[in-house]
Amino acid sequence: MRCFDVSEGQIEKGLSKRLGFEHIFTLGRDMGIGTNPGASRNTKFIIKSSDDGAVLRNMGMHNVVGIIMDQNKRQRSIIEKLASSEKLLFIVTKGITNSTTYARLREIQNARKLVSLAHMYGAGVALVSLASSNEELVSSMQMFEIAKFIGLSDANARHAVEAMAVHYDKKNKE
Amino acid sequence: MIRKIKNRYVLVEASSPIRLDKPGIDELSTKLVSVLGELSFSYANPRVVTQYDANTFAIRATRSTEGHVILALAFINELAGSKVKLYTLRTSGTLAALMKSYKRLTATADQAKFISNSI
Repeated sequence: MRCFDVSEGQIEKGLSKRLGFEHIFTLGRDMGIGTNPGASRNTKFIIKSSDDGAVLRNMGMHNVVGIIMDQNKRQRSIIEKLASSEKLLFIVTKGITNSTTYARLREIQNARKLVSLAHMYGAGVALVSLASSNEELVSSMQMFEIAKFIGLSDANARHAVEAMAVHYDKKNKE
Repeated sequence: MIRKIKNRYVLVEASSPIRLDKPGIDELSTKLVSVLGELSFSYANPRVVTQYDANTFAIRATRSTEGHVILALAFINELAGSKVKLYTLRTSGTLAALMKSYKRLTATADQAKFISNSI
């Protein structure tokens, strides 16, 4: 299983290998995040915005890898368009693993709802930690278990953890 | 006929050094109970078996429940008053195989350190 992750902060390479990840993409270095992917056309980009219109408008751009739902109201229409444009729906595990009891329950419910919608419309799902420090990371084994816990089947959980492999292979070829 | 209980051993690495003396183990068990619930905890029966170094130890769990224990360890953020993250690195059916995995991982980490220091 080739596991990949995306982090906010720089993670020590030895640690990422020990945790079972082939590569951990770093935001700000390997890829960008935000509302407008047009600002960095040659860098891979993850759209994270609560503005539904901006998400729907910018999703089709070629450098967009996927989106993170950020309190969006039109989740169904966004996920439907995501499925047709073959981009990924990123689910962040930091909120699930690093919260306290009730906040964690809300995060888990939210993640399960997104997984259910993604399954309904046939959108791809990827699990990322967006860790800013070592304390927000999880190992690849734990990432796989979280994927199964939020409702993905074994095969889909494997895909969710390996989803970034395509972008890693493309990056290495360049 | 009593079924033989089969176990799985999980290699766990902490993000910072931890002391697994009796109070440390009790605290870890309490946190696992609060995450897993009493029923799942009783069924999984997770036990700290051995500590390899300040950061790494092995936990034993009933076979088929190791997934729940791995997940529960991801939900633990604090031990002995300090922030810590518990990463599960390997699972194995025997402690001997787990020890081999630990030695291989440590050797790889030492090699990587040696290479980065010599550059």
